[in-house]
Amino acid sequence: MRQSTATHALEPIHITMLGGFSINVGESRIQDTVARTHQLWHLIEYLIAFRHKTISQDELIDILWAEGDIDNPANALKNLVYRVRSALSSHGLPHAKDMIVYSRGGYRWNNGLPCIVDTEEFERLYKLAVAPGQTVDQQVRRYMETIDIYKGDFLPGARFENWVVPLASHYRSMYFSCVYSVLEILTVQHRYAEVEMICQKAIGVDQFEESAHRYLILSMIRQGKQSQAMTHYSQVTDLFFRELGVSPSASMRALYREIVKTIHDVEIDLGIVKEDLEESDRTEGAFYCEYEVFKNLYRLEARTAARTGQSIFIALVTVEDADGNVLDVKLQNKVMDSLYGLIQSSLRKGDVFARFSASQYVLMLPALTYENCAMVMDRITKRFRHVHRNKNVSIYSKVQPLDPIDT
Amino acid sequence: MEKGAGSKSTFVVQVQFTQNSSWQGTVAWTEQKKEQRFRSTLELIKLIDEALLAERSDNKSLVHWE
Repeated sequence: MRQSTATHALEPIHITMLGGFSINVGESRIQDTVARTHQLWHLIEYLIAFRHKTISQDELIDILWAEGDIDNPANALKNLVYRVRSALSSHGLPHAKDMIVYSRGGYRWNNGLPCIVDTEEFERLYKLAVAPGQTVDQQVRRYMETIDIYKGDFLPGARFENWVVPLASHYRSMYFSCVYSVLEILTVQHRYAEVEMICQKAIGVDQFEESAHRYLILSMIRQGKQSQAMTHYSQVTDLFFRELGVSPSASMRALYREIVKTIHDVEIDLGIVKEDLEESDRTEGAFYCEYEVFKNLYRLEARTAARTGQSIFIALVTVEDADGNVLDVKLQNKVMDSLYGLIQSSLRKGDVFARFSASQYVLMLPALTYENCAMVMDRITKRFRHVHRNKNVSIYSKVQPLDPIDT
Repeated sequence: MEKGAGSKSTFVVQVQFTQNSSWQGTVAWTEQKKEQRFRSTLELIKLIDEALLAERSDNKSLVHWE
């Protein structure tokens, strides 16, 4: 067994496992982006992740060659340890040959060398942050420190390894727990610039964390960045529609209403107000809007219709395959994009449509008889069939008159 | 051709939403290092089923897994 070197006066070994794997000692550095076999990295990573215990050879063999597709695993493991030591040494890391030690029929990381592992720091700070009996400011500072250490998911290069999955999930849960705890406090304290910064990082870690998107949009609204908030809302709802087929939640839609209703500065020049109201692009064809806007337009039309007696129809167009089943995500997104263009060019400028779900558009067609409306829908269907004639896709539409509101 | 019964398939399922009385999220097939999103419970089961069929048959190609 190799003996550990005296710990004092040694430069500490900094090990990063969150957001990527690397070992740093002073100026020397090695990271898992260096092209070498995966097993080599998995061996070091596993020994460090469980550095306070000796790992038996059998356990390591199971981890490294899970499929059992190796003839002489004990020899292969011995050879791999040799290669790890050589790799560490070739990158100029001091004590490279002493980092992994053989002990009682197994291997372990040499804890005799001073070592700072980011995951351990992360857990230590997390415990401090959630501990009771501290001031709010202290707690915020500790949450921020904890969040700062989390540079990304645990060992992303090994994220499909069975032993990595639960650990990655564990650290990610802790990270988001910190994120939401600190966001709650910072929001109460109106520290929106910090909220925005934390959210931007959090959605980089998981783009489907709706709560992080909500806090981000809220922070943008509160900082007066209405157009950024609107752009982000559209991007997020589109992402969720496209990737997971989910609609924005009620609280997300409430934020949209908040962006829209945000009070403008006092403006006395009506010309400027008109400029603001005008569409920036002179787009031809029907008017496309968010479903929340569509709802308001529908309500407005319902009020007007009761007075003018004008008939208005609502149509729901659904994309599906020839058997009426939901399409594959990629195909569905492609077809929905194409249908968007078809609807826009088939309707008049005054007509309105919105995306209702991942596979549906809702249309509002004013001043039409039912027959006219059916003709319009028929035209869209025919054009759709022409464009997608060789594919296993179809559209299904339903039309109903709008219900006027009697006052 | 059938593969040996020893080959295993592991799936890690992350449910991110539960809209429309169903599940939406991401499923990872660890042995093949592949990941795919699903929009309903049925779609999740279909993905797993496709993976299992491909795993047990040499000439079955994957349509929905990238």
